[in-house]
Parts: sequence; structure tokens; C-alpha cells
Amino acid sequence: MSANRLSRALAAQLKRDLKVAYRGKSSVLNPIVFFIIVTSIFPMGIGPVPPLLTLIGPGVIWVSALLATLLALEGLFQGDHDDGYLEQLLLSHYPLPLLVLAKVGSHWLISGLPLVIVAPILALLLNIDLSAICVMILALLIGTLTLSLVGAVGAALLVGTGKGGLLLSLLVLPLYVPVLIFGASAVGSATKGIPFLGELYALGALLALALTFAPIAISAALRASLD
Amino acid sequence: MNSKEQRDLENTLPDEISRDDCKLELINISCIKAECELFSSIDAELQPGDNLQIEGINGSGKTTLLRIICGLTFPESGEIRWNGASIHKDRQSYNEDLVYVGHAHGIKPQLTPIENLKIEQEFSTMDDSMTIEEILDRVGLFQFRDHSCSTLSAGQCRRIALARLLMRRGRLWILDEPCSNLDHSGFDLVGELISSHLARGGISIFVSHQPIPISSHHARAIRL
Repeated sequence: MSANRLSRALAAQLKRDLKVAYRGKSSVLNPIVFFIIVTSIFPMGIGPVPPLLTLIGPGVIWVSALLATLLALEGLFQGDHDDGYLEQLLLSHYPLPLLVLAKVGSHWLISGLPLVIVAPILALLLNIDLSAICVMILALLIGTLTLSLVGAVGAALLVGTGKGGLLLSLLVLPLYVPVLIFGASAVGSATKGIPFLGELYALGALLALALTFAPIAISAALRASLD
Repeated sequence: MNSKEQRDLENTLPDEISRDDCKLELINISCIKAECELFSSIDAELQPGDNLQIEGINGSGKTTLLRIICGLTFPESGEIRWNGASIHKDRQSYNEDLVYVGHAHGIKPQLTPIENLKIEQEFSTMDDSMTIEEILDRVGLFQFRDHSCSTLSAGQCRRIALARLLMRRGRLWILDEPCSNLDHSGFDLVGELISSHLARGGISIFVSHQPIPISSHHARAIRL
């Protein structure tokens, strides 16, 4: 098996997932619409008090991003499980951890990246200044990747049981908390003008950890789920 | 099958299945599901050209046995060996030889037949003797090549799943109800595909409630 063939297979897998998502439009839009709605109704509920919005803004954005990611998770392996594609994936002669990494990658492109793109506009609603917005983009970029990787482990464990939803949230949320804390506090520090690099490094470390172990854990979970 | 069809078929299948010795051994396989023993002490040895049909009533564990042979499910006890090595030890080389057509078709309804097979092409140890169009023609779906699979019938989706058999160079075919949803010509197609696979030194294992027209001298059956 050459590296060339492997990378072509991974690229094909990524392209296929994006195409499937594009043709099944509505469900793809759910998380991003949820994110926009939740974030934009906060200022209306709390009232036009700019200092207060600046204070809670980073937290609001991160909490809604986290919940939006959770919303998208359930569909990650479900469709492939239902139409039998997951079995074929498990029986492929390519390394499963790399194949699932490509799957999580496409899932992030569909559900994570759009959050990062619209977040700056929503941040303006929450009175977050421009320099903090740059930090927020970076933190969200790293953070949502980690959330997708970690969440995929939970989704893989529960695929085929028909018990997504609440159980998935319970399983995954505790693992999401470190990302939430470091992510929100990086943006919070940036709005206050105090050093924020430490939090970003911590987010990076979490991503490195997830990138290393999540693909192996996802593969093992998928094999166990389909047993 | 008349001689022209025979010739067509020979043209449509890869002739490079390596003739190396390949051997599949089922050693003392047993399976327990929900505290109920489905089957036990299943032994079999399959050599190139051998065909094994698994029979049994609904719920007797036919699909489970196929999944165990694929390596998707672990048996309660016993071992599957491919060329002498446990399939769970050297999964990669086993998977290279294996083509599994399961209950579910393994195709994406949102994509067209061509798109589905293109992914397959990247994922398989490909046989390049046929183009995707030729393969679709062989399974009778050429005129539907650009339709979304969600608009195709169950039988047509089955044919796309069967097209996988023509795309890979696998020596071991495992087919779960390959004829489900198929019409008469589909039955003949499955029979022809399996027959020529066996003639060229492949091994096939399948579950089917209807008789599939196979010309093989090494056809065996296990009843669960």
C-alpha cells in the first residue's frame, strides 16, 4: 500500500462526505443556525448594557459553539451506519484511524468551520473588541477541532444503539469542559487586555492530545459498536 | 448461459486473481447471543474454487456467522484463519482479499451510481481491466449512472453493491443474501459472477434462501 494511494483514498473519503452533506442540505445547517440564534438573542434578553455584554460575551459564544457542536455530533456516524457504509469502512485495508480522521475532518469542515466564520459577526453584537475577536477566531479554530475529535469518540460508542441525544451529551460534556474553560478564558483575557497566550497554548496541547489519541479511540469504539 | 454471454463474462472479470494458494479455515466457531447459543462447533476448510452456502431458518445466525468470518464480530470461541494466520492478527492483508456484500448495500443514497463506485475505486485493491461505465453496464445500470441512488429501486441498489465484486481483486467473497430484491436476470447475474469467480480460483461464501444457479464442483453447505 503506497502513501500515494492512501492519501488519494483519504481525499476521496473527505470529498464524498462533503458531497453527501451538501446534497442533504437542511441537517447540515442546523448547528450553525442554532449557534446564530442562541448567540444573537442573548443581547436582547440581557439588555443593552455594553460592559456587561463584553463581560459575558466570550462565555456566551463558547457555550453556544459547544452546544452547536454537540447538536451536529449525532449524525456523524449514524448515516454511514444505516446504509452499511461503516461496515465497508471497517473492512477496508487502509488503517481505520486514518479513515476516521478524514471523516472527523469533513465533519469539522461542515459543522465546526462555519461557526468560526460567523463568530466574529456575532462577537460584534456582544461588544467584543477587534483585537479580542482575532484571539477568539484562533481559539475557536483550535477548540472546535478538539471538540469534533473528542465528540466523535462518544458518537462512535453510541452509533447503532439508537441512544444518541441525552446519553451522548452526558458522555461527551465532561470532556468538553476543559476546552470550554480555556477557550472562554483566552477570549476573556483578551477583552481585558491581560496576557492570553497561556490559554491558547493549553488549547493547543488539548488539540495535540486529541489528535493523537482520538482516532485510535474512535476506531476501537466503532469496532465495538458494530460487534 | 450461451457462449456469447460466457465470453462477455470472461471479459468482465479480472483474470488476475492470483492462483497462489489461499485457504480459509473456520475452526470450532461458536456464537452466543443474548444468552442463547446460536451455533457451535462449526468447522470448515475452503480452498481455491470452493463455495460454501450457509443455510438455516430466520434467526439461526447466518448473518452473524458471515460477520464473524469477515472479522466484524468476535465469536464466543474458535478462530478464523486466512492462509494459516488468524484474521484478527493480520487484518490488513485479509481485508485486501475480502469483498463483503452485506445486508445493507453500503452505498450512499445522496450520490449517483458512478460517484458511489468512484469512492469504491479509491478504496479497493483495484482491478483496472474495466472502467466504471463498463462495470455499470455489466450490472445493468448504465442508463441510470447519473441518477441519484435515492431514486433507484432496492434491486437496483443491490446491483450497485454487487458491482463492488467486479471492482476488487479479492479472492474471498462473502455475500449476505446477494439476490435479495433482484429480478430473474439478477439471479442469473449473481450466479454467473460467483461461478466465474470460483472458476478462476476464488472462494465464495454466501447466504441465500433461493437457489442460485452456480456451476461448481466444490459446492458445500452448512446448515445452522
